[in-house]
Parts: sequence; C-alpha cells; structure tokens
Amino acid sequence: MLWTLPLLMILLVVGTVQQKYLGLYRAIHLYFDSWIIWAGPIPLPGFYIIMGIFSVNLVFRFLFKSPWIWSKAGLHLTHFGAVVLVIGGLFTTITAKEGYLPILEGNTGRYISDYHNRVLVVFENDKEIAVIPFNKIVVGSVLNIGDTTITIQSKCENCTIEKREESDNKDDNQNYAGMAQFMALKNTALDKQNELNMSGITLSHNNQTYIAFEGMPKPLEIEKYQLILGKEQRALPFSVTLKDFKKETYPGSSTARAFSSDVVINDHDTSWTATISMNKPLRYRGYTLYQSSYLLSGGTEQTVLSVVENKGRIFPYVAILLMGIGLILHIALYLVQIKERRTS
Amino acid sequence: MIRSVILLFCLFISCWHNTAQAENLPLDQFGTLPILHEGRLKPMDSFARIQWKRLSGENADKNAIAWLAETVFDPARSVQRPIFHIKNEGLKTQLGLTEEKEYYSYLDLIDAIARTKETALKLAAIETKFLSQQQIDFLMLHDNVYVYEQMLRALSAILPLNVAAPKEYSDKKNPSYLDLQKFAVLIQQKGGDLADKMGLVRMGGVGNELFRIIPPQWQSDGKTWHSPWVVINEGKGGPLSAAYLEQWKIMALSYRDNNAETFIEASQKAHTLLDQNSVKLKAERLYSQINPFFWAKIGYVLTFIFSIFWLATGHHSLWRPAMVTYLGGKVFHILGLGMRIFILERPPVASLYESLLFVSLICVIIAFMIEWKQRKGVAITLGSISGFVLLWLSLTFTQDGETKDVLVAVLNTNFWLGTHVLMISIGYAFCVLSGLYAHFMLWMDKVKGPESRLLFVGLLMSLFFTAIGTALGGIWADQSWGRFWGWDPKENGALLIVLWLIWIIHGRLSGHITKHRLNAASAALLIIIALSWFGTNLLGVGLHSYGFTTGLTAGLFAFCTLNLAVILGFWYRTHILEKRKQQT
Repeated sequence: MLWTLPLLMILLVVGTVQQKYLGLYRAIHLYFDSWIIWAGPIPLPGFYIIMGIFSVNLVFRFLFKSPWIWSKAGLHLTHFGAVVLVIGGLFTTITAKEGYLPILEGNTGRYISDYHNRVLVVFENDKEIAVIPFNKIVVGSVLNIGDTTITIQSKCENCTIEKREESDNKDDNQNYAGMAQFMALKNTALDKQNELNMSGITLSHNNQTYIAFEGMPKPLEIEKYQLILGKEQRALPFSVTLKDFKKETYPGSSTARAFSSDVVINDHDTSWTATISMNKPLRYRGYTLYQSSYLLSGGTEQTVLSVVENKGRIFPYVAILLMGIGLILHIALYLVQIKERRTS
Repeated sequence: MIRSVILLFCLFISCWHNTAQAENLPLDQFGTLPILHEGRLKPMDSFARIQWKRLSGENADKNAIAWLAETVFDPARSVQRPIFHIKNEGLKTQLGLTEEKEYYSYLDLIDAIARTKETALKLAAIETKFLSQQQIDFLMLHDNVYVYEQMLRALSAILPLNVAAPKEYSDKKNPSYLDLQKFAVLIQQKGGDLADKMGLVRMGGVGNELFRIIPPQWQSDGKTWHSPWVVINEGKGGPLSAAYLEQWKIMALSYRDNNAETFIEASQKAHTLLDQNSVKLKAERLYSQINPFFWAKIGYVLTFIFSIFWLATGHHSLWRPAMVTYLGGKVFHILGLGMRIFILERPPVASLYESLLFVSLICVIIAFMIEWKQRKGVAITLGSISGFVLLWLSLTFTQDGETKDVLVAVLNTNFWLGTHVLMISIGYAFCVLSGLYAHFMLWMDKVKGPESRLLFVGLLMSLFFTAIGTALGGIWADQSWGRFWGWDPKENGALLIVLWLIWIIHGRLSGHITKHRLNAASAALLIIIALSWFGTNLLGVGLHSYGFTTGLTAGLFAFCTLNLAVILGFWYRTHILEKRKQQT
C-alpha cells in the first residue's frame, strides 16, 4: 500500500504528461496498458504489475486484517467498494470492445470499425476467406492465401505515398504491378492520433511487387483474390439506418449547441425509430451507441456513432454507491466518536 | 480593391461634419437594449465592454458604452479616438507606425492595415503554433480592425448621407441610404456625388453582420437576430423592424445633436417596441456595473488585515470587524455567483474561470463555519487568503473580455454540470483549505504539539468530495462516451488528488507517516491541486478541451517550486528545533 501508491502516482503523472508527446493512444498503451515499462535496458513495473500488487494487498488486508467492529462499518463498506471497482476495471479491460460506426444520411450501417486494430482481409469472389492482424504480419515472411502465397517485403504503420519514379525504393530489377507501378509507400512518423495513421504493406507474388494501403479505395487484386488492408470490422447483430443528422448551433454563431442522429434500428423483421444525441446514447442488446462526431462528405452529412460493448459497466455504479455510502457513514461515525470523547 | 474602398470610405466619413460632442447623454436605456452576440442575447452594455476590452486590452469601465454609442452613431468622431492597443515594438515597426505611443486610433492605422491585408490573409491560413508572437499580434490587430469596422458601419444605412438629394427622392432634409434605397437604380444611372456615396455606403454594408440588434421577424429565422445591413440586404425585415430601426435613427440623430430628451424618448420607445422581458438584460448590466467580485476581494483583504493583527496581538476585539468585512465580502461573492446563475440559466461552473469563482466561495463558506465554532481567527484568515487569491487568479481568465460564454454541446447538460462539476469543485475547496491549514500547522509546529483533528477531518472531507466527484465524472463519461475511464489528463489529475489523499490518510492511520510528515504531505496538496486543476489543461490534449489554456506554465512552475521550497523550509526548521531540544 505504502509503496504501490507512490509508484502508481508517479506512473500516472508520467503517463499523463507523455500524452502530450506520444498522443493519447500510445501513451495509454505504454503506461496504463502494460506489464513492464522499459526505461532503456531497465525493466520497470507497468500498470498491471503495480495494480496487481495493490489489489491483492487490498483484498487480503480487507479480508484478514480488518477489525470487524461496528464503528468501522463505514470503512469496510468503502474498501469493499474499492475492491468492486478494481474487479470491475479488470473485467472491463478484458471484455469491453469499442469501435465506431459511420453512416451517411439515408444509408444503413452494420459493420463497426475498430479504432486501432488494422487487419488484412482476403476475399475470394466476395467471400471472406482470411483475416490477418496487421501487427502479426512479419516482414520477410511468406503468407498462404487460398492456394497461393505472398511474400511480405516491408510494412509501415503510418505510410505516405510518393510517385514511384521519385522514390528511393525504385529497383529496376523488380516488376511493379497494380498501383505499385505508379506509387511507392514511404514510412513516416506516427501521428499522435492513432486513428489518423495509414498502414501499408509492400508485398510480392510471382516476381511481381504490389502494395496494399489503408487509404486505397479499391481492393488489391492478386489472381482470383481481393486483398483489403483496413481497420478491423465487426458486424452488429442488427443494423442502423440514419434518417437525419442534426447539428444545432447557438443563434447567430457557429458554436454547436447539440448534435443528434435520428436513426432506425432494424433487427430481423422489426424496426423502430430512435434518436441518439450528445449525453443521450441508445442501448440495445448489450451495445451502446453514442453520438461521437460527424463529417460532411460531398454535401451529405455523415454521423459517426461510437459503439461500445461493455458487460462490466454496472461495476463502477455499484462501487461508487458503496464507497459513497461508506464514506458518509464513516465520517458520521467519526464525528460521533469525537463528540463522545469530548463529553467523557 | 479593398484598399481603395477603405481609403475612400475613410475620406467619406471624415467629411461628415462633426456635430457638437455628445456628452452627458443618459445611456442607461441604450445600455440595456438587447444584442445577439456569440450565441447569447446580452445587453448593449456587455457588448460594449467586450469589444472595448478586445481592442484596448483594458478592463472595461462605464466608458465602454459611451464609446460604443459614439462608434455606431458618430463614426467620424470615433475613428479619431485612440483605442487600439499595440504593445509589440516589432509590430509597430512592421506597420510603419513612427509615432511612439501605446494606443492608436483607426485613422492612425488605416493605411498600414490596408497595405498589409494580403500578408494577413496569407498568415491566417497557417496554424497558430507555427507563427511568431509578432505574427500572432499582427493577425489579432487585423481581426480587431475588422470587428471595429463592422461596428463603425453597423448603422451607416440609417445615418444621414450629408449630400444634397433631389426632392422627388426624399422630402427629408438630410436623407439616409435607407431613405433613398428605393431609387438606388435611378440614382446609379444618373451618377454624381449622390451615386458615389450611395455606392460606398452599400459596399461598406456587405457582410456587415456583427451588430445583431433586430429580432427575428420570420419563422424561418428561428432565434437568429440580424444586423441592420442583413435586414436591408437580405429582406429579413418586417413592419416591426422598420419601426425599430426608425427609433435607432432618432437615437443616432439626437446623439449627434446632443439632444438628451429625444434620445431618451427614442431608446424608451425602442424598448417598448421590442416588448422583450428585459429583467435579465438589466441584471447583466447591473452585474457589470457593480462588479461584485471586486468588492468581495476588498472584503477579504480587509478581513485578512484585521485577522492577522488579531492573531499577532491577541486583541479579541478585532474579531468583530474581521467577521463583518468577511461577511460583506461573502455577500458580494454570493451575489455575483447568484447573478451569473440567473443570467446564464445554468449551474455556475463550466469553465476554469467559473471554477475559480465557485471554489473560492466554497472555501470562504467552509472557513466561516469553522471560525464560527472556533473563534480563534485562524480559519477566517485562511478563508480570506483562499477567497482573495483564487478570485485574483480568476482575472487571468478574463483576457478576451467575455466570461459568460455559451456552453459547448458536450457540457450542455445541467444535470451533470450540477452534480459532477459541483462535487469536484467542493472537493477542490476542501483540499485548498486543508493545504493552507497544513501550512499553518507547519508554521506553528515549533517542536511538538497535539495532532490536529481538524486537519484530518479536512482531509477526509477532501477525499469524500474528490472521490465521489471523480467517480461521478466517470459515470458522466460512461453516459456520454461509453467508457467510465479513459486516462484523459483531467481524469488522471483528479485521480492523482484522490490517490494522494488515500496515501497520506492510510499512511497516517497505519503509523508509517508521522504527524509532522502528514502536515508536510497535506501542505503539498496545494501543489497537487494546482497540477490537477490547471496543469492538466496546459497539456492541450484530451477531452476537457473547453478549458485548454496557454501561458500559465511559468506561473504554475513558479508556484509549485516556491511552495515546495516553503514546505522544505518548514521541515528543516522543525528538524533543527528538535535537535536543539534534544541537546538541552
């Protein structure tokens, strides 16, 4: 307790300040979503290790070292709340899934994209036959795709495209095919906002060099297969049609007052309307849909809903209730004690 | 093109005859006429103060409304008034301003502004972080001049043209653009002086939409008010707007003739025509006039003087004056916050500025309650310090002149503003007081004394409110974005306070932290609070973007180091005293 808390506080401060330099996603990943933090060659305990020791300590002290007397009832309740909070946090970390669902006005959306995970998806005649996570793709390895193979030449987490002729990567001995004839991928520094990074792969097949790129509108065709590199997608068990997106501003200014999406939820044979607005999400079948942002693409409004599947969301509510009641009880009991001592 | 228009317009307004200076005109009625500005209907007085602060950098006083009246009613006089504040010497050189002064009039600047318009347009396309301070100031000046020009020409359609017009167009002696608008095509065909002036005035009115004084006349306008020029050019008017503008015209003419009687009459008629409930507008004007937080600060300073003398001399008779001044300050403080709630129709905390106003009040109230029981003068001293310092700090956030901004979409929920934000603010207040009290304990703790139960209760209350407030923030986040916790800087800051409190409370209970160390660790709460409250906003990342600030870094750093030094100093002193005691 005495030692884990300062460590936790130091981690918290460093992790927070680093957000300015690394961006939210990478800072969280490095500091709060890690077992070990490497400071050069020295391993330092990451969030999970510190939190693990802290939690075990908390639970054991709570169970075995607490003086089970009435005057400490408030404290016990509070600590039990803390245990619930930690368990809930663990549960959420393991099970919760987040993604976003962009829908154009008048269109229907069913697939939620992950904010961060990229995958290479292989189709054969519009049928998905393989999904390979981008971070599992190793440079130099040979991947089986249906009944053929591809070799990974290089990959970049954030690529920009440049003209093939102007590229340093131009090798006259290679045959470039598809878009690779005109453009080459160039590795650049990661953007602080991970959503904005554009992953890409340069690969070869039958002595031909191809590129797959997140920003490419069309799939890469190799023999009878189509390859698409992009954010990982998951299907919802229902679909959502956007009827109307509304942005309300304060009169005579451009400051937004409210955003909302009028949607139709379609689940098998039934469908009904609903409105999703700021601070008022829609909850259905374990999914919660939030108004996240919006885009204007080609004159049509596009809503972006964030979709969260979190079975552990009840934990914090229970924990806070317990801790709140516990703290009030404790302060009340403490004041009573003081009064008694004074009168005696 | 733009340049020639400005120069011509400049010549044109300078040939208006200067009427007798409008002095001592009663502007009370004029000051409460409504204007829609930055999404909110506010009294003309507030609009004047905001623009005054924006251009001159000075805190506005009652002169602001007189300046605004002159600017819209008598532009020819206004352009000679030095109102633009330019500090940057480099900028002065860049603009070729040879005359060495702090404030420049529109006439002083007009050439330089017209000459550098192209440069400004190019710079405006670049992100601010790539610009030098001089470039930022340069752009700001261009912006300010643009805003000023909008005000200058806001009423140009209804002001007299000062040029002879044939009788058949208008029977008025000195008609305005609006009087002659019907014949605009005919006048244009004939050409001549009148046509030139009409053309210039019309061009000056294009895009002039800042001065939104005309209420919506049509259903399609919703709640959007329009400027006179938009009403004229886009046909947004109706019978009411025509009658209303007529009163504005009478106001303008009587202002120029310095005729108080007709001026008051016209401004009263304007109020009657609008038939708006003006209680809020009047309240807002009163709020600006009283400046309640200024008086609250005065009250707290006086309290501090009395209570310090009391603590130093032990004269109990000083308790009464200290309490009276303290209560006086508190009344003004509550009045100010109450008026804000009434004017804005929402809970009082939605920005860093407002959080300072609120937290300082909570500090003052808590300290008052403790003082009422203890009567030792300590609580009231600490209460007056926190009240004054936090209110004084709030002045840092009034740079752009407006402190009563409308809420961005995500904050537009009274429920969460009323629970999470208030809870966490009360938590801050307890932390500030506990931290200050710990400083006092360190100061008093010459060698060894009894442990302060008050400090410990203070820490527990701090923990209660910050923990519940942070958790409520998590619930708000879960309701709004679908995650309870997202490692956002502001969330982490709040968690840091909670962890620190948990640490020192548990450490003390288990005996690992001695009484003296507890005092030092509690005193350091002030540093933790400063980092969490202001430090996290300096990072400029995360979700609490409505509070992003810059330029506080140096101050924050200085405060933290200084406070740390003070705590260590106390620590060292106790160390030496204890040693000496052991020796004797």
